[in-house]
Amino acid sequence: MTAEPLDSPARQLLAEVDVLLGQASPGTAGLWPRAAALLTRQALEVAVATFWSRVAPGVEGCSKKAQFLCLGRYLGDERLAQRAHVAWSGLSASCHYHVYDLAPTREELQAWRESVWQVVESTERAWR
Amino acid sequence: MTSPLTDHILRRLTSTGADAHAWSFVVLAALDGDTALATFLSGAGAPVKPTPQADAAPATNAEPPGAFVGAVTVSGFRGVGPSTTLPLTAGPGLTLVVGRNGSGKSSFAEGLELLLTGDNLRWKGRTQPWKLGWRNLHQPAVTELSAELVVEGHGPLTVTRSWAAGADLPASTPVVKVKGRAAAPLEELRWTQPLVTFRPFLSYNELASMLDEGPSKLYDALSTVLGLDEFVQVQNRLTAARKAIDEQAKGVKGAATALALEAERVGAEHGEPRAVQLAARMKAKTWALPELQALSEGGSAVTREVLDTLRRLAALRPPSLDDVETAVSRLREAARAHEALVGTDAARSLARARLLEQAVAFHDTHLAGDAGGSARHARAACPVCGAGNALGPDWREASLREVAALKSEAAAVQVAEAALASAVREARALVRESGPLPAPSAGELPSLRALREVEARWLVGRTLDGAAALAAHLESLVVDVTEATTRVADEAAAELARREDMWRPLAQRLAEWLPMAAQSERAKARLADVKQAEAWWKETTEAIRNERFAPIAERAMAIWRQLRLQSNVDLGGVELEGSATKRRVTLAVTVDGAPADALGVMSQGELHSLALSLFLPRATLAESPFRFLCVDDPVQSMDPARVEGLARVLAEAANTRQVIVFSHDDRLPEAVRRLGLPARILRVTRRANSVVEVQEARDPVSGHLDDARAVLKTDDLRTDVKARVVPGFCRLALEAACVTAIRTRRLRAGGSHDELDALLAEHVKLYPLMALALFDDATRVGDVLARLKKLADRAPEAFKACNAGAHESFDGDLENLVYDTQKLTSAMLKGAK
Repeated sequence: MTAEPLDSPARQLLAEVDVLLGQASPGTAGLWPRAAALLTRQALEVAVATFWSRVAPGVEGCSKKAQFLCLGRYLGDERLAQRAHVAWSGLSASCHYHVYDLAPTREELQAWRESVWQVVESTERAWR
Repeated sequence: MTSPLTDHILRRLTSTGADAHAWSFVVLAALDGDTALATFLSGAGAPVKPTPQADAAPATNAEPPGAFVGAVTVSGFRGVGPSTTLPLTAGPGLTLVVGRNGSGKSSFAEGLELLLTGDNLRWKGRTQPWKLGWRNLHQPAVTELSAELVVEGHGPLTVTRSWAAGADLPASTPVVKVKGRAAAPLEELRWTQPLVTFRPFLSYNELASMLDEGPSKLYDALSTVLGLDEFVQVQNRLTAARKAIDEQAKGVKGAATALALEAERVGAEHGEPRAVQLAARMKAKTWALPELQALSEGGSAVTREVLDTLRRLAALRPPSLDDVETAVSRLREAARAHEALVGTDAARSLARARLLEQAVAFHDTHLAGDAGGSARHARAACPVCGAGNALGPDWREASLREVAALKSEAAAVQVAEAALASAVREARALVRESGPLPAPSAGELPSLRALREVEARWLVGRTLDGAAALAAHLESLVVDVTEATTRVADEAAAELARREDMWRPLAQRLAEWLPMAAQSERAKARLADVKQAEAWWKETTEAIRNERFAPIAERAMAIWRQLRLQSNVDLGGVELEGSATKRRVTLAVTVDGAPADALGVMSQGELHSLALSLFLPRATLAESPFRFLCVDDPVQSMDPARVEGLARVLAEAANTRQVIVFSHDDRLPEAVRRLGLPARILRVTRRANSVVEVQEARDPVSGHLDDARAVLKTDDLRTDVKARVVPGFCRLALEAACVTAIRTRRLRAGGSHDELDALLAEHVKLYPLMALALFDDATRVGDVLARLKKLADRAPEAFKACNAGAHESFDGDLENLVYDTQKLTSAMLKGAK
């Protein structure tokens, strides 16, 4: 096992997310849910973009929706691609301002983080 | 001393002239309590009409010292692990506590309620697992709720309730601590009843269920504040009294019927006249109580005759055998003595003695002197026969001797005759009737006939001549008479005893029944008054209830008008109607002017608004000791327009009350901010291990910029992480500024919330959003950067950094980015305002 996958940007970002979700710190009080959402979404986007650049260069320039639709085919795992899309939509909603919405809960973030982690594992396995 | 209620009622009775009626005394007795009413109705005493206190003012709505909440601290309870405090401002004002479901915000609302009430309406009827889950999983050992309260005129106090590890939910005792004083039980605040009556906790679930639980439950919930409990008590007392009279009458009637049946049976079987009479009297339409009383005490004239005869017969005594024997031997002795003198003629002897005495007297008067000197020896001729020389002194002496002998002989005969006569008289005196024996009749005592016969023979002795015959008569019949008499007396006594044995149980039942009947009759005489009093009371209660409820209904309708907005459902009136099982709340609902059933036509959101309209006035009444009001999640199922109405209603209530609203989304804060209503907003988030954070929230633009600055400042995040997060927060701030600008403009121009929300949902990307904000035209994305340049320095660069940086790491100066974003947003909002 090489060190590369451990240090991939997506994994690093998820590690930061785990810090935010795992322990309370006064410096991040109140802002951690949005911060975690931003980082998780970036982890997902980085993982997917890296996957395309290695496996099918050029697809990373398409719309996000199109990318997630293609992902299932390329990974051979439609379910995971769907989960990834759902997580991305939820994360995006949390990263944008919506007039009546509050920041996501820890449980929501935890679920998205799990989905993203699966995507990272799966995509990295494909090009590793 | 009279109570305020009594005073109030007296005034009403007097002012309507009702106090002149007898039934008004029933009302007064009922006011006095169960005992007083029972005493009055049993006729044992007339109630004294109380006079209203001259100085008694009508019950005032004096405001009790009001309580505000300074802070609520929760630990180890529901969603809150380590001790967390919800800081509040102890005074009138609106506080919004905002947090996602599961953030722990409701734990504060539930905690405060559980702390003060020891219960929580939302917990009732919940499943067992839910009830078991009241302790926080991450901190099961320590569960404690406490609240700092500020009571007007009393200063701050702390109420605390804590549970030992493993203790059950009900196993806690709340204590009140005032600085410098020993802890006291919560009851000392006397809030138990007001917490129910004025219930300062309104939760979505509870409000929703209020309308579902039916009109009588709604009635109860709304009428508790009216202070009608006492009225209901009196009403119940009167109703109970009326029913008791009816019940008693029924019982007495039943007992009478049963007694009549039994008496009839006894009468028929044993011919007991008292029983026959009792049956007749008990079956009569109206009971003749005095006659029945007499019957129970010893029977009436009719029945007495029979019994008296029996009693008389029982008392019969035969002639004394000794007396009869004595009389018989005396008779015989006297007869014998008399017999001895047979032949001697007492009358002749006496006549001769009298004749001789007269002759001596004649001689002494007329003949002694005629003889001259020699008179002593001379003899005169007999004046009767004329024989000479017949009467002389010697004759005289011989005659006097003869007189004495004759007289003694006559006396002996007289004595014997007298003795005989006396013996006969005495013997006859023994021949008596035993009394007036009853005429022969069927079923009479068996020996009575024999007695009658032997007595008839016996009585012949009264006319018998001759002592011997009489003595023989007596001797021959005395045994028969004695036997017959004794037999009849014994038979009569036995019959009497038999009849007493039959009658006694009836008499006993009658004696027990009589006082009951008498009491029932007396009470029945008052039944009309009781009914009248009951009717008057009901009417009066309804009048007073309506008077008291009117201002609450008024407020409820005012609140509804603010909440309904575009709804075509109008609330024309709220009324409490009926009583007891027919009590209900009537909501005069119209849909586009046509009457309709509230529950049928209203949407969930409308029903909820209606419930809030009904219960908000109750919780904010002047009489309530609570100056705070907790509203948990009122905006569920409310559309944005109604949320705006709600924000106004809550802000209005917050002018005089501390209104704490818990909300699971940002709709209410948004409305409050947009309408410029004064409010404090607290944001609750829950992290790992149930660590709950409470933060003061500003408007979303400032809030996101604050978050961006906080990220910059903290040492808890790595620099490369900051570079990935800060642009995201800046973009959130920019988006919020765009949305605020768009909303303000559109709503001001008369747009609807629904149209606006649809527009915003359509344009989520930053460019079209900014184009909408800047030009009210989402298509003019090409003009955005040029306009931004005019708005603020480096605005286009900041805008582009925000747009891109949300997806990737930003390599520019983060502090500048935050600064520029802030400049841009304030320039945008300045334009929008």
